[in-house]
Amino acid sequence: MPNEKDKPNKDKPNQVTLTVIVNGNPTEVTANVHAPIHTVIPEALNETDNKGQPPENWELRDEPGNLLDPQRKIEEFNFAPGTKLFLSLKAGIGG
Amino acid sequence: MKGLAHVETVLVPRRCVDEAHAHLALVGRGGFEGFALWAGALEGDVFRVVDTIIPEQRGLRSDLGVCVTVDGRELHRINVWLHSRGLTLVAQLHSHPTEAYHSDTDDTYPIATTTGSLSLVIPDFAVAPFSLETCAVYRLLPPRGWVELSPEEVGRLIVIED
Repeated sequence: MPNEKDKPNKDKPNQVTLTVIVNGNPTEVTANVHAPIHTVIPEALNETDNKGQPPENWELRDEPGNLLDPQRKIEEFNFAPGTKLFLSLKAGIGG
Repeated sequence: MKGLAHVETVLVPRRCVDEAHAHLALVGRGGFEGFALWAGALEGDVFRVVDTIIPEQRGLRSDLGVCVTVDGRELHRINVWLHSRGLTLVAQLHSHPTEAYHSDTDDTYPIATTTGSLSLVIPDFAVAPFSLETCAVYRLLPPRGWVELSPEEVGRLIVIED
């Protein structure tokens, strides 16, 4: 059965819904396909209530761990339906 | 209600305490700070810890002091692992060479970033047996940031199960 996520909205063809995993928890973020992918980061953090580090301290990877260029447009990634993006911190430090 | 901010009890199996403390004590004997994480699942207003995660980490020591870092690739690995098991982070634990308190670095670069998360700082490189009474325990409560909990609050919130 086709996954309805990760598809353009019929009424808003420039929008796509992405599944983003933060701290193990999935959330769905609606984004403009023409926008750079870093634009999903603040919404994903807000939806999952992750406020301990600012958005610029986070990075997106695919499940195998490939870093996604934050400046690339979402449409350029050609995400397959059901793709999960993993939003993780660039670093944690105790001092 | 949902989310870590509404958790009123964090249940921690003794083995999870011991695993974390053993790591902190081990690296402490070499003069380094260490990191450990507690993961589990939310059940209403109770968070049940089921695993201790010892992230791949690097202890650093210089004239300026000591710190411990976990890089992005390892944090990604942990994120994938948590998701695959339906778990989430509730707390970070790390050691200090002397006094237990949340440094500016701890405030700025935590691994536990969800509102309501806990941060336990263990003094003296974890040389003594683990005791909540000697830890400094903080909770992330925006917009106040990391708020230190009183011993009474810690005693009500964190329950170690033998």
